[in-house]
Amino acid sequence: MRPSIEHLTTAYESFRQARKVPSWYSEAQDKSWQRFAEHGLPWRKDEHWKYTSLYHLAKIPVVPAPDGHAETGANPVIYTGDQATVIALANGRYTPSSSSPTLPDGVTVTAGVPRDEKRSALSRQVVRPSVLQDLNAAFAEQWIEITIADNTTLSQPLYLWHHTSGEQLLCSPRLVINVGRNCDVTVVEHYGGAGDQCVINGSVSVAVAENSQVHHTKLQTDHDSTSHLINTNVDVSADSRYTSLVIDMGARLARSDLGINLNGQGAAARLYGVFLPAGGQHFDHHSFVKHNLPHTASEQDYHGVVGHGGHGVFNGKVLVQPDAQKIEAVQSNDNILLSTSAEIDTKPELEIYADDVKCAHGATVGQLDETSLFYLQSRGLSRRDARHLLVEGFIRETFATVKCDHFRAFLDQLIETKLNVLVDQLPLDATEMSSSKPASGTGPANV
Amino acid sequence: MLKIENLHASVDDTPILKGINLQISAGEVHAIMGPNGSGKSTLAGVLAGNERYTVTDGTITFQDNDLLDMKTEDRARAGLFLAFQYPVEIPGVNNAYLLKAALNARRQYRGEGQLDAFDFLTQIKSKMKLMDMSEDFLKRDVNAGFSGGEKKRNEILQMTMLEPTLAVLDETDSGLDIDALKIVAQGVNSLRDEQRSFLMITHYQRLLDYIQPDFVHVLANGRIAKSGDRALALELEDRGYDWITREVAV
Repeated sequence: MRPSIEHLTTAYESFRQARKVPSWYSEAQDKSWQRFAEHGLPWRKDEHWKYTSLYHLAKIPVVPAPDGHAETGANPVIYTGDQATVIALANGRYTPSSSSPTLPDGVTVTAGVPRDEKRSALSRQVVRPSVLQDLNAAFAEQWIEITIADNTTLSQPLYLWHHTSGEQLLCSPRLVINVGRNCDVTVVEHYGGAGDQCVINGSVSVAVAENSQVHHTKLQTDHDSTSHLINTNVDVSADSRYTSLVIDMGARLARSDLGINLNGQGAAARLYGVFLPAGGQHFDHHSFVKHNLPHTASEQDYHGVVGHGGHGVFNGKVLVQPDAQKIEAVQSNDNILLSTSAEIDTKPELEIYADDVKCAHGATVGQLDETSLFYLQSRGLSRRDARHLLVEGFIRETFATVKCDHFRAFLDQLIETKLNVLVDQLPLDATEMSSSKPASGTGPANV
Repeated sequence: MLKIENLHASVDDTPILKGINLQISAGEVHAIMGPNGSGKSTLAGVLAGNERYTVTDGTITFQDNDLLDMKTEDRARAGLFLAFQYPVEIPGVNNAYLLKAALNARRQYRGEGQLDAFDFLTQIKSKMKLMDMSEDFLKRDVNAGFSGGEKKRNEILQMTMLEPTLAVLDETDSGLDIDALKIVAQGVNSLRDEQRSFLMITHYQRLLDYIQPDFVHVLANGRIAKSGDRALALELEDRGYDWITREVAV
């Protein structure tokens, strides 16, 4: 049976009575709701939800995040200061008072209901439509649109601080990022906060025009009772390169759907991911790259480190359309299980309809390599430090594309903190209890 | 410095070492030669504390300590170094980071303060020059994508930085061309003094042309079958190992 949507239905009824939006928009919202309600929440019998259950959502009596009450609050892990342009979002709403006072040249931010349906990103082609997108559209009251003008190069990241506070709220952030031609920009989305049992169901739409470079990081350090469901859809035009890094550390459940349309010759996407679930956390990454034209390239490299009681999922798919010749697609997912109660489900998929392409995919699941541990110990590192170093190195491999040194240092620090939980809580190996000294006397040891 | 007595060790219940006796004094260079499968690498592994090998009998004393009672990392901190036959690749961890961690672990063990970053850089740069390595090496990941020769040179570079009291070189010369061999030998020779000892495990006499040993031992069937000076290595070069293996069998 599908998870019940009783609480969501109640929430939508009260929401539609209170909302103040243009009629065309409220009609569009009702239609989205109907599509969602007819289908219901995804469950295990839906192909792309085989490993991830949303049953716990049915038990949370969520209410839509109200306007005006949320605060961005102080958070010790926030990446701030003069190193980035901060764009603050509280429970899915733009809060200029917590944002940087000025925006760099070429960047504009607007928030509100789109002026009309045609101009809105509603008409954009989504790589893999999802009912959760419908749910987002039904509740989203504010579209936050970030526009980057042609020929803009940003020296600092645009840091989107998605802060969640309150209890049992349904937050429905809707973000549209339009990057012009010949740009070079870094966008960091950081989801975090102290919200208790909140559900974040977000939709992010990115469009990259010709000949631009976009680095997009999604960092997730949500409260450990949060359900984090984000669907990101990216259109990449000719000669542009889109680089994504998705890092999951917090939340109870995190599901990231990342869809990429490679829409022009010379378009390329590089997708990296790091997920570190432990202690009942469930992190699921679904990526889908569509090679729609010849001479496009994609690379995917996801690294999972799963601790005691953690569950990780990777499902990466590459689709090569019939005319998309001379493309290159590489896909890999490597995982380290740190405990016997750690679980990983991995499924790289290729679907190819062209006949002159170069594609590869692979997945590995293993434990920390004993030979590597011994090598490090033989250099004087304790077993604990050796483990730390190996896991850290395994994670850091995916950070190589982060251009900003300061931000990479910030990530290193976050990872270090998480690893202290993940690695240090491991039980000592049995071998560490005994020494290699022979038992006294000869013959079999009788200790 | 090192005293091995009646050492027996096995892998997965198969006995490999069957009673090794060997004594190394400060400042001495010993070479251990022998055919494949004679137990050379097992001996190196046991000395460093690799848990793949089970010591079933015997004792090893290192600087008056019971070596077999020490953890791998404590052996290293106390001054034992193993240059691996097959150095491990560690993606995501750069060489400078590993070396600093290793040096600091040793300093802490000896009750010394943290390493000075400037001293470290000065020191490593001069050692890298000695080993003919370019400066970008420091930022590269440990052995990742290195050629066989680069990996071996990296082992010796680590050794020159860690300045062990006893260095065990496990077939460091295997697979090296003559130029790389000379550089490796140069690194080893630069460390030779009256306090420091070396145990070189090798398959080929060639290495001993560049690093002159004080003693040569032949390992056969898990035991030291013959000991001598450099002349023994030259004899082995001429006659092969068969005659010794036969002597042991008798």
